[in-house]
Amino acid sequence: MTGAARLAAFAVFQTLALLGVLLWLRPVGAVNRAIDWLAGLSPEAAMTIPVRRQPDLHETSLGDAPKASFERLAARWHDVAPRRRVLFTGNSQMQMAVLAPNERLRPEPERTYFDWVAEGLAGRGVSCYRLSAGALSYSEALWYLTYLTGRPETTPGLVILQTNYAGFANGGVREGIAALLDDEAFAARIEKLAADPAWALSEPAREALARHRRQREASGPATGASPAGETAAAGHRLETATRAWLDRAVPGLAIRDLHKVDVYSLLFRARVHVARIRSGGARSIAPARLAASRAALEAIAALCRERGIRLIIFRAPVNPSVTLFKTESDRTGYEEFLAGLCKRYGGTLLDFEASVPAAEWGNGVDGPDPLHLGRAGHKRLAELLIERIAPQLGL
Amino acid sequence: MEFNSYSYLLALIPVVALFWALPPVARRWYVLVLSLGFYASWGATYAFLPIAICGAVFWCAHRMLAAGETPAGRRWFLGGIAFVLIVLSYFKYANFFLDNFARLIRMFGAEPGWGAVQVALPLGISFYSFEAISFLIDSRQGRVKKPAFLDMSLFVLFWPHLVAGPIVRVRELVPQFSFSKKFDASMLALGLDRLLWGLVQKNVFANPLGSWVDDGFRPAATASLSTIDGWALAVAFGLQIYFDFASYSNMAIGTARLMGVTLPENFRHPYHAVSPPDFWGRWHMTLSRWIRDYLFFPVNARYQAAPGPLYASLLGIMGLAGLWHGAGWGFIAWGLLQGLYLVLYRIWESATESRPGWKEALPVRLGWRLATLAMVMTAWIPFRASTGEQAAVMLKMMYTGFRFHLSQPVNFYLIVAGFVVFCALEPWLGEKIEQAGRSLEARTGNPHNLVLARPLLYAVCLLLFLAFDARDAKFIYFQF
Repeated sequence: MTGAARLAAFAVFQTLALLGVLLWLRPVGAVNRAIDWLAGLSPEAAMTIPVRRQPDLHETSLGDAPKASFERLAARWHDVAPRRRVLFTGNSQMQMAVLAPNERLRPEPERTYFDWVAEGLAGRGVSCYRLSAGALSYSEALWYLTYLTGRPETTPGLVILQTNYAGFANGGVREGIAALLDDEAFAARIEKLAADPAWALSEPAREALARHRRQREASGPATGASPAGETAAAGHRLETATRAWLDRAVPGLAIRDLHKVDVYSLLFRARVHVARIRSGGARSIAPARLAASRAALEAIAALCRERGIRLIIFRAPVNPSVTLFKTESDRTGYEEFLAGLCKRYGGTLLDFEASVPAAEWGNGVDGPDPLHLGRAGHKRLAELLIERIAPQLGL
Repeated sequence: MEFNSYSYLLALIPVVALFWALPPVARRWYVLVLSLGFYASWGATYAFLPIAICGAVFWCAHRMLAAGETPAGRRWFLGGIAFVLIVLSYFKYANFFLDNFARLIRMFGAEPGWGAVQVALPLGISFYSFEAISFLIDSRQGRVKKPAFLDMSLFVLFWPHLVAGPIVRVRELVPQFSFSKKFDASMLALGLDRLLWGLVQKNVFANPLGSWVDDGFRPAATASLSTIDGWALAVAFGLQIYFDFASYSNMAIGTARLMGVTLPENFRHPYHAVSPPDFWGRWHMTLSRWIRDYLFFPVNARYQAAPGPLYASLLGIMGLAGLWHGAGWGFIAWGLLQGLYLVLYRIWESATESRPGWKEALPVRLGWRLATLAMVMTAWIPFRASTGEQAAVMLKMMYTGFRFHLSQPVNFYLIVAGFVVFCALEPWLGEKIEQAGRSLEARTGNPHNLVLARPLLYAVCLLLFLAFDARDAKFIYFQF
């Protein structure tokens, strides 16, 4: 071996050894912790707080692969009277906890307001189920309801729909939810919805249908403009085997995603501390997106009325120290739409927007969280909800 | 097997070690076998295609050279080119032509009696077809002397450039296939520099930008976009495609360098271009010179100073360059726009020929620089949009239907702004890192900084590559 070859071999060895050290050290995570310490933050403020995940009560894939959850729900609700089935649907506010400044992490997973409500009503013969996902759009909520009402054993008696103004900014249908189109009867119902060109929701529905069709074609025999037979090719199989082997053999490699989380967290801290841009600022939602979200809510309300399902729309609490509305007309538009919707379709509107004091809200890296409650906040909201829902259920 | 796959990177270490352990003659066969294996790893069925093209083109070139400057020689030459173009057209454009012909027929009220052809697009066909054509042309023009089949096969199939370029020329690559160089540690340093930087560009820059771009270009979201969104998305896609393609070129150049082979550069900070022709001297440089040498010069040799035909040929040739990228009207529109920019710049140059001071004036230079950037970004809209209607709506939003709300999350704008700043500083940063490396090497006497300094940088690049791992994110240029 020549001197150059020895040097090259040594360089490769050093690279791999240093990579191992970096994988183990998580250097960017350490930088983040140092920044938080300098900013005077408690460790909890920067953490994703573990919350309860119970397959009997929650759609645990959070929108990534809901079909298996629904099979489980069908088995559970099979013996529950339809009027005793309560479906909660909403976005991350329903499934996340961010600890308030005076709250400290506990060993057991946190409960969200839904968990308290489900527990409170379970003793009175009511079966609750949470169907939530981060940034859930109302189009997605409509897809969920359309899917669930396609089978008697998954049709709820009461739908409790959580709304907040920020939720109107979400659009589209994510791939995991679009995968429900594998069910042909459901696909036919969505195609019917998509066929109406005048409807604000038909375009996202058409887009999701087309995407799903493309995906099915791609996973079938090689046709069209895609590299020939790629998924079945030797290279693909070799890569799968290599990854599986490396994940087993190299310590720290299986959790490589955490380094990405560290990098994104660092960028977020740069945004907060350098660019001074914090989350949840007031905004106006683009007209087309607003129209699509409103159309989805109208469709949900119409579907509930058509199927004899009671509907409660509750305006979720917002941290009193922030505002989600950029203009006063944003606020009045939101309030008038929800009031009008419930009036038109016979739903019940509950307003909890100002029901949780500032001290019970989460506190994150960028200050008070506009939408995510702390431990006490979740408990308070749950008590308020039970008080208002119980009469609706004849309890 | 892609350059940014774990299996490829892991295999590369023993593959390169064995390459240098073999005698030079054996290296030629070794590289050919590995190249075929690399291509077949995507689908063994289609591996016959580049081999068939190599065989046919070599045979045509051989008969052409034997016939010399006779009509028969010319027939062999044209026959070889026609063969390659027919194969390319069948696999890449058959459905495009059939579909458009069917639409035309429907316009006259008739119903076409054919459907789509069931054909998969073989990976890299546009790239190796162009290389095969360049082999024929160079042979015809005497730039290739008595080519051996092994040389010809290695020229087309050499795996670092086989799937997505750089598009090489016979005279720059074939002489290197003697593989007679001795191993030098600088080959490892330069090779890994490019390879690992390419991995970072792909996984850390291009893929995350791609997620935002995919979301922003959803047809359903188009109507809610504002002027700011339109421009931000155009810039985001411009950055994504640059990082994506430059990353592939870097990995190709780096891999080849590990075996002592130098491939031509493909990118030179394209968004620093000062004019449309300058952009084409910096963007996909090996395609630009192919078009220039094999299309533009031969076509324009007839026109000399006649501006009308020159402009028409520029538009036509750039339209074809667009079509080369993909079988779709969006690609053609992109090519035609690029052609239009070149024509406009030529007109400006002609108009200011008598006033050379104008060209050098700072406002004019700055104006062209900004205009070039705006024009290039504008052209990405039809290139990326799903339909012509979507492209039209977005372009209208960018240029006439001014609306100034932000419909994307704030992180999107921040990320785009961050990458714009990075792109602006990239040449300066590159130079500073190089200077620092040289100065460290001089101070420590550590050859190529291969003890600690470079391995540490490599480990950081690998860590980022692994952290931003996205197995299913393909290279954009693979579809071309």
